[in-house]
Amino acid sequence: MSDMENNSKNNQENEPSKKRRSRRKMSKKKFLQQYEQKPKKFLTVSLPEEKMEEDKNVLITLYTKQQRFAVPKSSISVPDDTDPTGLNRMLSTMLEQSNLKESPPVFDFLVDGVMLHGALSKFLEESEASNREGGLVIEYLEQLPPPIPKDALNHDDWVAALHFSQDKLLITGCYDNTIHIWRPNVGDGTKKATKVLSDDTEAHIIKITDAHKAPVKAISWIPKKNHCFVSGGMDQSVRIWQWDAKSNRVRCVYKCRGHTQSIESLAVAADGELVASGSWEGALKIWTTGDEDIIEAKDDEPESKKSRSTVDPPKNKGPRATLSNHTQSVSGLVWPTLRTLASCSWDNSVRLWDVEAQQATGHYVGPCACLSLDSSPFNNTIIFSAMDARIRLLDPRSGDGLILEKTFQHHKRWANSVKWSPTNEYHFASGGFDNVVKLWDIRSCRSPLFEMLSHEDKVLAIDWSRPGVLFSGSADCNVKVFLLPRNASHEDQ
Amino acid sequence: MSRKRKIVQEAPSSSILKFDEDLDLLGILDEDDDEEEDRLQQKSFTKLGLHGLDDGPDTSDPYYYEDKDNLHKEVAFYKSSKKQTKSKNSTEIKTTKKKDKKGKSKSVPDSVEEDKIEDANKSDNDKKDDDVDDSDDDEHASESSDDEDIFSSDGLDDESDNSDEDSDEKDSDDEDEGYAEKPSDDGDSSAVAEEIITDGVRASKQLPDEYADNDSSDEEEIMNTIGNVPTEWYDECDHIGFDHTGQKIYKPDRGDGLDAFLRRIEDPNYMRTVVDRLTGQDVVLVDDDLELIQRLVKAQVPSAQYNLYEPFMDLYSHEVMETPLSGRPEHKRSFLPSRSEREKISRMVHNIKQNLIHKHQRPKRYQAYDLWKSDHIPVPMRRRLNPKYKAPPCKLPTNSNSYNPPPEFLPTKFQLDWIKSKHVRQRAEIWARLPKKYNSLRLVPNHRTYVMDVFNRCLDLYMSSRFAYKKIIGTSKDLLPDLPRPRDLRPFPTREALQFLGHKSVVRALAVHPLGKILATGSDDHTVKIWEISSGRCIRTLDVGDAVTCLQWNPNSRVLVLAVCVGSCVVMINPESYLTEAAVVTRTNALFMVPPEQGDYEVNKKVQRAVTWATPSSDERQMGYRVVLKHLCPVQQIVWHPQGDYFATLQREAKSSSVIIHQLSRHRSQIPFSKSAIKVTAMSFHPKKAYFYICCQGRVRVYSLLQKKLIRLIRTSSSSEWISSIAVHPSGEHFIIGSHGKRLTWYEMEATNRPYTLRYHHGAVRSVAYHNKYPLMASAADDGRVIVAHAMVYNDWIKDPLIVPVKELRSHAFLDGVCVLQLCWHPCNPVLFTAGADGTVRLWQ
Repeated sequence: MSDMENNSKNNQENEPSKKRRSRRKMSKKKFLQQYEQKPKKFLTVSLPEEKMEEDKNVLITLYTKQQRFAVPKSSISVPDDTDPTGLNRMLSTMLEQSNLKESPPVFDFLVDGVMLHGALSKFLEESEASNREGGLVIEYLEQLPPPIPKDALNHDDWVAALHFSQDKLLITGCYDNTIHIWRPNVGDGTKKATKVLSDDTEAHIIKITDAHKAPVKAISWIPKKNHCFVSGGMDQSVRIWQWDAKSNRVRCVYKCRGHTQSIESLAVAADGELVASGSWEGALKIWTTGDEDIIEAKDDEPESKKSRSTVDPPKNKGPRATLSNHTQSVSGLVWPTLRTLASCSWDNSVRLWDVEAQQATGHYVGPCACLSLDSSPFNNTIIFSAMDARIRLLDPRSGDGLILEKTFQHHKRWANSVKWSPTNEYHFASGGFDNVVKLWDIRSCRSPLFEMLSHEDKVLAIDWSRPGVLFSGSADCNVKVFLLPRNASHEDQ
Repeated sequence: MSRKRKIVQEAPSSSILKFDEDLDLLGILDEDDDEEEDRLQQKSFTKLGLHGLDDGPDTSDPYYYEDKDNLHKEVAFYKSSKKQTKSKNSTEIKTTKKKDKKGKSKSVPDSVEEDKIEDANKSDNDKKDDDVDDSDDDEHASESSDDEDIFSSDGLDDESDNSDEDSDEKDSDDEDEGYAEKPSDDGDSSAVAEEIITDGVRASKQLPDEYADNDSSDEEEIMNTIGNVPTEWYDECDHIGFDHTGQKIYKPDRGDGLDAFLRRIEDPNYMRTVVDRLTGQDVVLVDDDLELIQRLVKAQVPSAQYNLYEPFMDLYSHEVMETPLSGRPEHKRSFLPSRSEREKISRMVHNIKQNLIHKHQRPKRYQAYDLWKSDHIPVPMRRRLNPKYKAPPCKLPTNSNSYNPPPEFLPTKFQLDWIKSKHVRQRAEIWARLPKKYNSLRLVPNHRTYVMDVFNRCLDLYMSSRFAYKKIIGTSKDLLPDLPRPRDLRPFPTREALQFLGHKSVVRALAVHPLGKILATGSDDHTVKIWEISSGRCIRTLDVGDAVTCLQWNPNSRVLVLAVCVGSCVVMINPESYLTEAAVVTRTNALFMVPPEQGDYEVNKKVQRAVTWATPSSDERQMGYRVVLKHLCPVQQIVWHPQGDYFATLQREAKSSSVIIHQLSRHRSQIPFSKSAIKVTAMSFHPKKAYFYICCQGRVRVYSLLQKKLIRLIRTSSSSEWISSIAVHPSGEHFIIGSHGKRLTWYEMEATNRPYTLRYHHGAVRSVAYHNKYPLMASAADDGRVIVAHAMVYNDWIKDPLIVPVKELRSHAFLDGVCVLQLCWHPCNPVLFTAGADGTVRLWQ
């Protein structure tokens, strides 16, 4: 191997000098020829662009963390126009030689933590790190299998919010003031669940009409509470509901009052104790899910007779706390930990809150209004989408503030919702107003891993709270279910 | 004598005075010569001129030594050197002589002296008669004697007079006879010169003898030579001093006491007799002396005539004197005789003596004479030679002279020979340079290297490209100011982010709620739609029954009122769904629950005719209608006052009542601009002050609503005569108008005569709007483009606003030649909404 290296090095060292010389001569000759042949009208003769006559070779070293597909660690000289497909071909031959039983899968390649798209030369140009004496160290990993469109849950109106629970129950909020509970058939989340089973009637459990007096804008299950969920709508109220699975009845337990404008976002803490809600006026209120903070307030509008006839009218609740640093609509909320809250707003800012102390701990001002955010369950990094159709990655860990790490730009319109993968720290999904749901790897900023093009209208909400299944609610009145089969590599991680 | 004195007075120059005196001396000294000698001398003087006599201390005269020599020679020749030497006497002698003369003249009474002078003059005249025979000069002099202006001639007269006087004085003065006798043996001039000097010395030594003979009282004082020695020293001696010969002067006998007593009794003058101690003699004091002594004793001023208190003349006063006084002592120069004058005079004298100056001599004028007189030229020829008019100038050499030069330029035969003598090569070179003669250009042979030269010239032009010589002035872009890059002016809308789909016809009206949550649009499909901005969801649709031309949200966020212009009605709608706070909705409903009481307010008839405030029917109330204002004509525009209570409606078809201002809380209307507001096309409220902008044809009027008068009248340019829209900057200091003439015109309120015209639209401008918070401006035109401009206004009044078009937005489809009809900014974010003829409303982010 050392010989090879030396040879290649020698080649690299010797050739350029010869070439340069010959080039010089050639160029002079050409120049003279051109000078003589061309009419002397324009004497500004530009030198012709010299192309590399020979392909430049790049020294690469391939390695993987998946021991199944390990190849001997060695440096290989490959032409610099090699792209991932070429590398894949090369790897497959190498793996066949190493007596792999199964057929080798397709791999993705990472150079310096950035996913490789296109030829190596292009990557080298962009990275601007020309001095790579030891060659490129390329990590390869098994490619994520493509998502499978599983199901479509048809609604009567735009689906504005949805959430999938641990109990494999999907709850959706619609613009027709209704809330639906579904039990979609998502299989067991294995890669074999490939067959599409679409039976809406089976999947649909209950439809709560007139759950709100205005479109439902946000909804979420409350974890660790038996079939409780919280919903917020444009009627400026947050309601906490209880679904009785046996009798299949839904009861509004609490009516949280305090917001003066439409509820735009909701988030429930992981212990199910606290609910945060953000509304259009910029206020951010924290509610408890239990029997605390009950207030006596008159309903300004009398409940309908039907609901009155039900056993318990909903109790009115006051907010536990109000955080009002935002000046415009709080469009996204998430609990990174049990007692910290992250919010993004139309006033261009992303803020971190300490809920117990009721004060802001971090602050980041973006270039334009933010639409949604999510916090990684693995390392608390925050992604948020903004009005310039870009998704940005913030790292709250380094230093005391939020630092912009990366920008993901592929959506053509606003990405109205972003969600981290529950299983992979590198993956997240985004649904945009350009009717597309995209699956991203944070190591690839320019292009997403997959684009899911099944929607016909704006994607208003997505959910990836449970591994292996992705839901997206859209303005085409459908909730699409995508199965994300996991492969071995991701299980390893 | 009188003339002489006169001269002395007039010209007190020493030279003249001196030679006068010299002449006196001469005259005195000449006495003992006989007449013949005298004449000779006179002759010699006349011949010599006066130079010989002019022996002053001035030696700078160039003629001085020559003449002196001449003089001595001549004197020697005429044996009159004796007399000449006398003239060399020192001035001291002269003065003493003078004194003598004066002393004598004192003794003679004045009348006698005058007679004498008269006699002298007479004798002068006699003499003159005699002198006429002697010389021409004298004649001249005598003739010019009357002419006193000519100084030189005076001098001449003086000379002659002096000579005459001399002859007179010969007779009168006898004392000098012996003194004048001098031996003159030598004929040698140098010897004479020596004698002159020695004689001068001798003469001075002989003086005391002369005075010894002539004793006078004045000279007694000189006798005692003891000087300043006190006389007491001689009290015990017999003498009182010594005379100048060294002999004692004895005291006079004063007699004893008896004598003194007798004298005291007898002498009436005893009391005024004192003894002169120096001489020892009695002196009788005269009255004047007594008086002087008395005055001195009384400590008075010695002279009675002296006026102690003369009128004081203030030399240094505030009055400006014509000739300034100065305390500076006069310069020495002013006491000295002028040298230049003396030189001038001496030169004149010299010239006169040399016969160079004649009295009536005039400089001769140049006399022309006919040059051609002797040539026998006929008259016409002469005329030609001396033409009246100038001959036309010669023709300038032309091109033909280069090959056909005049013969004088051609080489002469001599030159040709010289060339032939040269070597062959040299000859060729010289030959090439020589001018040659050809009778016509046709005969000129070709230049030998002509083709080569032309070729080389062309090659030069060809090889050296003109680009190199081109002076680079720069493009027109260089003249423009440096605009910031649009990238640096972010944020501004760059792309379409959302479409609000649902209208079935042209969307003409568009308004964003001041809180930025909802958007209202009005269309030709008789509907008003309310949208949620964040999702593009249509929340509510209201069928208003007619095409909507304009709608505006009430800018007051405490009430939720949407004013919609439907045909000739303006409807106040409360959409009532959960668009904003419930409290706001209820407050709004309460506002319209009961129409306000008008009380004593009488509605103007005109207003009554124009507007009717009506309550909606129950169905309409169900839809959200709260108040309906019925107008006579279709309402094109509605604008709210920023506080939300007043609003103005525009009906273009109503002539005198086109602009009506309404008050929402009281349900009242008024027509303030009845006369001037004709053909109003657009209007706006000022965002801060109570001003109102009305755009008519070709002018913008700004009214103050408080003062109820026109504040400013702005005439727009002819190209932007038809104003389609107006937008007032949130600061209130600027406003922009869009016109059907494809122009946007930006005005500053303080400098409306200097607007900025933006010509980037290619169609009639439909709508223009400022952003409330960001420095942004957008305009839509019929060319389908919406142009977003960065419009930064600075607080500094001197600094001009920065207007940079940053983005061109084009997405709407055309329908009947119109595209974007209305645009509107989001109140908080840099988001633009446009309503298009294709029925869509788009959000630009």
